[in-house]
Amino acid sequence: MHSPLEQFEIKELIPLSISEVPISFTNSALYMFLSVVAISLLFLMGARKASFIPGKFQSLAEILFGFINSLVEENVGEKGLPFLPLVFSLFTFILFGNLFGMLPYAYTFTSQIILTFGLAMVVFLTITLLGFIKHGLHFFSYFLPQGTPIFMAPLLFVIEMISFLSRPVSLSIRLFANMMAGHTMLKVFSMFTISLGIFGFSTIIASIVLIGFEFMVAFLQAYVFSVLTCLYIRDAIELH
Amino acid sequence: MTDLKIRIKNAQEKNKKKPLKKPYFKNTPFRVSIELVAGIMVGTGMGYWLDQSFNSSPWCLVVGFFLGCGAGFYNVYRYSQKLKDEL
Repeated sequence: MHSPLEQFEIKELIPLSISEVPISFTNSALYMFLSVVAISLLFLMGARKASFIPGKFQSLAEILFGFINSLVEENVGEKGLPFLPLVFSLFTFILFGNLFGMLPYAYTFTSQIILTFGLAMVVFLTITLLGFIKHGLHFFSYFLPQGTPIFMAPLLFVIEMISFLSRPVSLSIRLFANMMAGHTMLKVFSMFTISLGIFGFSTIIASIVLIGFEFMVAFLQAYVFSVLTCLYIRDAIELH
Repeated sequence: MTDLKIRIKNAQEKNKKKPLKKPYFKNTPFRVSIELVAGIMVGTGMGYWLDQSFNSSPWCLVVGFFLGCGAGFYNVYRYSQKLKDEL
């Protein structure tokens, strides 16, 4: 029987390397490519013939766009609208990655911590740079809450700094752990179905429920990632 | 024209009255544990890195661990404050 973790294995589809640095086209890269193509196709089809009464693709694209637009407006405000493209691309990329992972035999690239950490680092660098550009060195006052006693200041500064640096870590672990745990659980339950024989129908019911749950998690995690991005951007713009 | 504007305004207010559910606060136990663990991980990692670069093992690691715990609990505290505002 296969191990339940086998589905997360990276396979090289087209081996490539530049002076011994491996840059092979893997199954993970394939699904990233597929999701980007799917997103582009969806929005190209949606925008191709914009009609007053939207068709299938147009209404789907409009719903997605309106959803993220209101999300940014609600959580950041008017000032956050320049960051709409960033939040929108993050949301659609993660969402399509999670949903592609729900197809049988597909690879879930969001279950890879390096990818989620990369995405979280993009957010982290954006908010740090934004803070420095907006506020200059005044940005450091973010790490010192108002009304701190002076003898507590160095300790609190370090703690706030670590708390700030832990943002990309918690952001990436949340997404990766949710996807990986969900997919492992699905695999384990489906293995029970085979080994239980005639009583396997009980685990089939459980698997159906879990698959529905996984779809919810796929949406929820993409949403949570973009909401947190919005909140961090607001922190950087407003400094508390 | 003004009639249309009033109708649009009414429709917008109707939309606003529906409170959006905040999935941000779903799955709270898992979220809180990750906030805590991330703080500890970053603090300990920084301590380990400082030890490696200054050859001061194990002091920076120990201090970093405790500072990381502080940061983790601070994260949880801030999250719970946000939760309280929301409810």
